[in-house]
Amino acid sequence: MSDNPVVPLIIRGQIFTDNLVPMGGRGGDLTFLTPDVNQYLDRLPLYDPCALDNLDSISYEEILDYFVSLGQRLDIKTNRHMQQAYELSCHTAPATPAVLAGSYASIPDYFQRDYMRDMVEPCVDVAQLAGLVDSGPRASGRRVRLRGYGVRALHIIGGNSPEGVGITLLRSAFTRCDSIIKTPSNDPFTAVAIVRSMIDMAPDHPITRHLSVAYWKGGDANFERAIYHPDHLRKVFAWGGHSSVEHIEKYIKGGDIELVLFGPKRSISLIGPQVFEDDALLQEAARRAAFDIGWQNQTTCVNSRITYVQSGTDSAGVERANRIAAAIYEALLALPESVSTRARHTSRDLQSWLQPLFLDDAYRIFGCRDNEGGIIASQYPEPVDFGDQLTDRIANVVPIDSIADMLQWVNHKTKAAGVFPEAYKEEVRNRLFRYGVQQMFSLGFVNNGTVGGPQDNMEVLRRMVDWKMDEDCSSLPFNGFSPPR
Amino acid sequence: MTIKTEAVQLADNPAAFFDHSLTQMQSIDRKRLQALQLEAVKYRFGQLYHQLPKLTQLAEQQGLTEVDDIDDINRLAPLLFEHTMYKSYRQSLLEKHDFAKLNHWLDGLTTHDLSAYDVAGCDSIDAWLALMDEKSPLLIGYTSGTSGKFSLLPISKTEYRKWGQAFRVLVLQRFGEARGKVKHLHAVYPGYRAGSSTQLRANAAVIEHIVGDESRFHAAYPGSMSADLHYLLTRVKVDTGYRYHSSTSPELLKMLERHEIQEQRKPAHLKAFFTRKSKELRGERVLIQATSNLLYEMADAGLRQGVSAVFDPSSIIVTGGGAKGTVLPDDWRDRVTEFAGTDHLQLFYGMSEILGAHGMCEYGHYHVCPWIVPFVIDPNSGEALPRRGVVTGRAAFFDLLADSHWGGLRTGDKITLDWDGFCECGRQTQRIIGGITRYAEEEGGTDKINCGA
Repeated sequence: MSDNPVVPLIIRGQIFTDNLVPMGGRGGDLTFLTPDVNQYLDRLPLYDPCALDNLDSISYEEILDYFVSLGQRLDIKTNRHMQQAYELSCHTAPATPAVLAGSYASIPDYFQRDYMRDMVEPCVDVAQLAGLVDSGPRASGRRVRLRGYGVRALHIIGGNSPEGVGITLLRSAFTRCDSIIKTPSNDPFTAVAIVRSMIDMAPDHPITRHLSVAYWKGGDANFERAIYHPDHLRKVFAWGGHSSVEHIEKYIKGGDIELVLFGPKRSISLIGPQVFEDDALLQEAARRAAFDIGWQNQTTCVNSRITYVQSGTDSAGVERANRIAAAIYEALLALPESVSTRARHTSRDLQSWLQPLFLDDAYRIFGCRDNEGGIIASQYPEPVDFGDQLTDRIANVVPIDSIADMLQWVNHKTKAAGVFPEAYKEEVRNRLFRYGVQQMFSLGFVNNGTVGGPQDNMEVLRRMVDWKMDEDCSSLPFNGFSPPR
Repeated sequence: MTIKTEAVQLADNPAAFFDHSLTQMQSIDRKRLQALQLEAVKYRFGQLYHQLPKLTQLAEQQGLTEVDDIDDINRLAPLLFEHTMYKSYRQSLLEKHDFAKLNHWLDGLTTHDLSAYDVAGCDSIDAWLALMDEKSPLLIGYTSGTSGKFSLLPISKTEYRKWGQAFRVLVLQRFGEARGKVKHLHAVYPGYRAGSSTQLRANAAVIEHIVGDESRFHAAYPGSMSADLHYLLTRVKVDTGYRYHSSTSPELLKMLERHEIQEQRKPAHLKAFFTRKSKELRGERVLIQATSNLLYEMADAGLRQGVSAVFDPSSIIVTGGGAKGTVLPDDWRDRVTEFAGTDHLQLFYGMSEILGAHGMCEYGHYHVCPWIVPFVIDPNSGEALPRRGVVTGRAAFFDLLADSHWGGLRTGDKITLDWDGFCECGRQTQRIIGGITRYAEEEGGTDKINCGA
């Protein structure tokens, strides 16, 4: 047991490494040691909500400054916490070491001032997060002041991509929340590394003092009954959808604790008929599509799984789609190592779905044999039935005659649609949004999404706070003693 | 007789090969069995290679086209079909009732020519399966997995008959005991009497080969389970809104609503059913096939009322486990046998795609049926692991009995197989150490959270 890594428990600036218990280790995964959270129930929840007052003393600009400084300290070349987290994540993360290195190298980017401002300012009035803001006299004469109050929150984060940690930390700080981050078994390391870097940098700063990071096995009834209690928890934000909250729903039923679910989602690409007029355009579409499929080895929800190509569905149309499928496959193989690599091994479930496809003339398969990824080109206008299981940079190219043909496969679980060329968006946008697509971007920009934009059809920053209102009715005559008519 | 001739006999009729004796099935010398299995595998490959288009293609892709290429059983591993093979049809075909195209797809998986059957007029899955049952040599069986997609298995009437003969041996006999005189047996079954799922199709085999007469088969629901309803149920399970899908007819929706009411009443209905049958069949020799939790509930209710030793001591209880999330007390078996009045409680491990059932011995190990050749596959690489020592991996099997479809199957089960050891129980066959899990559960159940999964 002594060789197993220790994942500390962090409670509001304090680091704990005692009361260790082994965790993880199923199915050949890494076993790690972490403090038994049950021993810290007296201090993990924030019992007094007024303890959040100290966050009111810092300005929006100070929060930006804090994270700009933090970003400079998160360089994996120099930060030993990040180095350790990276090395350990190589054993648990779904992505390969090279791709993970790329992800870790990009973490500081989240803490660039412009990036953060883009995330916050278009979404919410930052003054309203810092204090009550007078919205001026209403027609009735009363004055109304509003504030989005930060709350005591718990975040169940995803482990498929380390960027999710950065987003969660930023959202928490800008909304002046106290956050407990419950890490997943596929990445118990990254959040701890970043928050430890915060402690190294500013141990007593209110932002540092309102972040906790803990791992416990989801379903630990004794602990979860206590932690998910409306007296000291207001909101739970859960990535991974229903499966990540199945065992806690009984504690938060009735809405005493607000539950906000993110995902799980799948994304798609759409390529317009224009690309078949010009081979250079087709090649560009293929390179862009390949990037959106292969980035981070297709471990995230924005990665494209199905690429619909408006190629026509007669034999010439299907051949056109095959041509682009072949080009996407070539472009996948050409992606740089930090963006995408061959998989360690293709997902077992997916492998078992692939075998019959090789024996079926309803599909043409490019690659998919040797963990290198590949493209399943449908020879009829339908995606494969196991589209949800596409991963390890294996995607499905589907020929269509018109956008109407594919709407039946779009629903509220379709997160993003990358579209090419830009003009094609005009034709598809409204229908895709109506059918469920949440966001649309230019094909090839999967890694450049605006985190400030809506997620799962909601404005998360606004959702993270409790909106409070103070009405000043002093200019109105009081008539509360009038008898009812 | 040459080993080749013997191997053909083993494959073509396993029950007859072992003289319809469970003791013989499980006492065959291991080296001899291995030699027979190798020959039998070659025989089946040679026979089916050109007749099964999917196998032909797979074999060509794998560069294994000659019988003599299979000089070792593990050489066959690349030719074992993934269990998904039987659900690799386009789901839209089933939804649009395009049974001609489904038959065309099945044609790749069976030696029988299905192109001649006019199924264009079939307006439901039930109608299609009924027509194929009546006119074709097949009894197409379906299984509903958790994925919401049916597996469709092209098993022939001949294969079912041979399996029925072998199943009779597995169910009625106990290892080490001579075949006794067969007393009339009543089967008590807590489900539908009929249907096209592979599970319900087995009822016909129980009647034909085990109880001998329809009147001695007692089903809790005497009717037939509709495949269309079953399909709708599996879809609704993964997508609650599916009931309002455009392909759901008003009649089917009504059927669904009736079924849901029936399901609500099921616990009370089954309790009454078991109570009634334990009175009606008191002292009779019975065969009860049920999941362990149902058996336990039946026994517990009876024992609480002071009822025990209900049936003839030669009665048989068959269960495949499947407690469905409920945790049974450690002594559940004792309670069941005390109530029923027989100590013959047999657990089996098997799967719909394979015409065999591996019985658990008194030491808790499953002994592989001699006409089923086991493989253990590396879960990551997909390669067969060496056939020696104690090995854990993905279970795969080759069913020698299958003569019109391909018997090779890779399952999603995680097993531990003891290739060299011999079990204390005295059976000579290889054993699967008890405690079989599904890889899918293992991958999903470890607190791993993904935004895209």
